[in-house]
Amino acid sequence: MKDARVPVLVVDDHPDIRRTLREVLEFEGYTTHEACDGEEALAGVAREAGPCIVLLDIEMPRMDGITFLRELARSPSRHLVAVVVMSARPESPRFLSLDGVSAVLTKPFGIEKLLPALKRAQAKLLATPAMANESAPEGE
Amino acid sequence: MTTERLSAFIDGQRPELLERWIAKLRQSATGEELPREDLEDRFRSYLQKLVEALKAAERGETSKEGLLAPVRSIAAEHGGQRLELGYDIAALVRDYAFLREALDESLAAVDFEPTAKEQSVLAAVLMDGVATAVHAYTLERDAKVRAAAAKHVGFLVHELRQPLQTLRLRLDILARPGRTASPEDVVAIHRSVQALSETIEDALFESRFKGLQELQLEEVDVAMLVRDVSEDVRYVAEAKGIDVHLESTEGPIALEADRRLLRSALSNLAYNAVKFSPDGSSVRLKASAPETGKVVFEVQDSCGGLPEGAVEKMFSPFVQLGKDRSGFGLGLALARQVSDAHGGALRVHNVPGTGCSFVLELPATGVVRVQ
Repeated sequence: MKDARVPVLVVDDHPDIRRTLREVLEFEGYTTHEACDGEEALAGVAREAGPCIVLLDIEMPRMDGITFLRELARSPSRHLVAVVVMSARPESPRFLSLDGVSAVLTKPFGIEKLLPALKRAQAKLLATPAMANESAPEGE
Repeated sequence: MTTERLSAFIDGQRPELLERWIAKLRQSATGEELPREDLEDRFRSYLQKLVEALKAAERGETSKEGLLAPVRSIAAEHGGQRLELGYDIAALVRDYAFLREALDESLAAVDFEPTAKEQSVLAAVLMDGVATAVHAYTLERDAKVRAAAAKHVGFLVHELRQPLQTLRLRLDILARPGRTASPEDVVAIHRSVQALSETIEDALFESRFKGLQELQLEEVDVAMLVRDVSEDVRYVAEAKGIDVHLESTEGPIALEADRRLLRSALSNLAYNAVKFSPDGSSVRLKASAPETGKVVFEVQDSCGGLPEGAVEKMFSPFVQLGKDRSGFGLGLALARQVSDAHGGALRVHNVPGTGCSFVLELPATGVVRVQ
C-alpha cells in the first residue's frame, strides 16, 4: 500500500495545462486521464472501476467545476473520488469549503505543492469507511 | 391672502403638486421616456414628510434633526433609485428644483405667501433632500465602480494565472536533472508567454482607450494595415500550423482612421480567430471597399461555430465562451469600442459547424481612394 498510486483525472479546459500536469504526474508514477470539462469528468469518474483523484479546474465551458461537484455528490461513485480543486480565481481558497473537496491549489502552483496535495487527498480517500474494503491499485 | 398655514396648504394640494411636478419631469430630457411609476418613485411619501416637517416647525420644533430626519431616509432611497434609472447628478438635483417650481406656482396661483419661518423650513427641507439624495447616489455609484474594478482585477488575475500555471510546471519539469527541453516544452512556453503578453496588452489598451478623448485620425493604407495585422498573429498562427490567408481589395484604398486603435482592434479579432481555430486549419483576413463606399474588414475563423445564444453575449468584456478562453473577453469588447469610436459597426456571422466571421464596417466618410 505504501507505493500505491490512485489514478488521477486531470480536468481543465486549457490543453497546455492538462498536458503539462499529466507529464508531471506520470513521471511521479501516477496513472492519468484527462477531461476538458465537468461533463467529460463525470464520464471519466464513471469509467474508473476503483478509487481516483480528480484534479479539478473551476471555470470551464459546458459544465464548470462547481456543477461537477454537485453532480458528483449525487453519483454512486462519490465515495471513490477525492477532489483537489485548482483555481486561478482570486477567491480560490474559499473552494475548500465545498462538499467533497480535499484540497485547493491556487494557480500557479508548482510540483512541491501539487504532490503533497495529492498525497493528502489519497490518504483521506483511503481512510473513509466506504474505502475500508477497497485497495488502491499498485503504482508503476 | 389666506391665513392658512403652509403645511395645511401643501397637504391639501398634494395630488395637484405631484401632477405639476410630474409634468415638469416629463418635459425634461431624463424624464421623457420613463414609466410614471418609476418617475414618481417616493415623491408621494416625500411630500407627506415635508408636510410633517412643516407641522413640527409650527409646533415649535427647532432641532434640525427633529425636522429633517423623517425626510432624509426617503431622499436617500430616491437618490439610489435615480442611480438605477441612469440619472446623472444634475438630473437628480433638478428633481428637487422642479418640486420647488411646482410649489411656487401652486402658491402663486392662490396668492399664498408663506411666512419667513415657513420659507426657511421649506428651503431647509428641500436643500437637505438634495444633499441626502446626492450623497446616497454617489455612495451607491462609487460602490458599483469599486465592485466593477474588483471584478476587472479578478478577471485579469484569472487570465494571467492560467499561462503562468503552464510556465511554472514546465520549469519544474525542466529543472529535473538530465531533462532537456523538448519541442513540446518550447511550444507550451512560447504559447504561455504569448498569452501573458496579449492579456497585458489588452489591459493596457483598455485603460488607454478609456482615457482617450479624441481619435488621432490619419490616412491609413488598408492593404498595409491588413499585412501588419497578419504579422501580429504570425507567431501564434505558426505555432498551431494555421494558414493565414490575406485577401485585399482591388486597387489600393486608404481610410481616415486612428491607425493604432484600428490595428489593435483587428489584431484582437485575428488573435481570437487563430486561438479558436483548430491546429492545421485556416484563418482569412479580408479588406474591401464595396460600392456603398464603406471599408469592410472581415476576419474569418475555423472554430466550428458558436453555441446557441453565444453571439448575443460575446461582446461583454468578461464573458468567455470558447475552449481556450484566455484573453477572449476583453479583446472583442475592445474591438467593438474602437468600431463605435469610428462610427462603424462590428458584427459576427455564425456558421454552425464551420466557423465565425467578424465583420468590421467603417463608414464611407473616411474612405479615400489612393491615387
